[in-house]
Amino acid sequence: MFTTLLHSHCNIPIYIQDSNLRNEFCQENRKFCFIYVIFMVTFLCKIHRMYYEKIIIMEGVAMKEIAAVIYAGNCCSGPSISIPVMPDDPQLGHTYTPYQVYRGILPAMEGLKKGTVFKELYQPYDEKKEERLWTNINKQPTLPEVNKQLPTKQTEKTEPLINDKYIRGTVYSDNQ
Amino acid sequence: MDERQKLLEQIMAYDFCLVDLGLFLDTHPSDENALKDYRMCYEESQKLRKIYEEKYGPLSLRHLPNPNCWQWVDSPWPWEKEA
Repeated sequence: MFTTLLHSHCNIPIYIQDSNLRNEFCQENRKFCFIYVIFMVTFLCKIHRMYYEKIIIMEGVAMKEIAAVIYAGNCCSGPSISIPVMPDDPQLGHTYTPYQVYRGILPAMEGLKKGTVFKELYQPYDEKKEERLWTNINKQPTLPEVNKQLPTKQTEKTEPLINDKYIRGTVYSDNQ
Repeated sequence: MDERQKLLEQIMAYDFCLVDLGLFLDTHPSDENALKDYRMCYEESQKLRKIYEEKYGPLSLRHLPNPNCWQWVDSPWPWEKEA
C-alpha cells in the first residue's frame, strides 16, 4: 500500500492508494493536459491574430477601417461627422492624403529632436528599406497580358516586340 | 550643457509641441485628446518660461516682468554666448 501525490490541473493534491486507479487517473490526467494544451494554443493564436490585425491597422495598411469623428463648427459644437481615413471609393486621377487619427504625442524633447511630435509622422529615409521595397516589387511578375498572348513562333523571329501588330487598342481612326 | 541652456531647450521643445499640435488641431479642431495635450504643453511651457525669466531675465520683449526697469539689456547678446 502506498500513497501517491498527484497534482491535477487545478493544483489540488489528490491522494490515490490503489495502483490501478492511479494509472487510470494518470491517463485521464494526460488526456486532460492534451486538451488543455490545444485549448491554450488556440487561445494564444487568437490573441496573436487580434494583436497582429491591430498592428496592421495601426500601421496604416488597413487604415480605411478607422474613422475620425469631428464636429462641424468652431469649437466642439455642431453635428458630428465621421471622416474616413481614406475614401471608400477613391477616384482615378485624384490624390488623397490619409486623414490623421490622433494617437498621442512623443515626449517634448524627443519631438524637437525628431522634427515632429507625432510618432507616425517620423519617417527617416532608410536607403536599405527603400531598396528592399523596390527589389520586392521588381521580383513580382510584371509582364503585361499582351506579351503572354504572343504566339511562340512570332517571338522567335527577330521582329521587335513593340510594333503595330501587338499594340492593343485602336491606333487608327474609326473610318479605316 | 549648463542649467540655463537646458531650461531654454526644454522651453523650445514645449513650444515646438505647441506648433506641431497647432497644425494638427487646424484640421481636427474638436479632437479632445489633442486639445488636452495642447493644454498640458501650454501650461508646461508657461511654467518653464516663468522659471527661466525669474532666474535669467526676459525671453521676449512682450513679457518684461518690470517695465520700469529695462532688464532686456542685462541678458547676454547672441555674440556673448559661450562657445
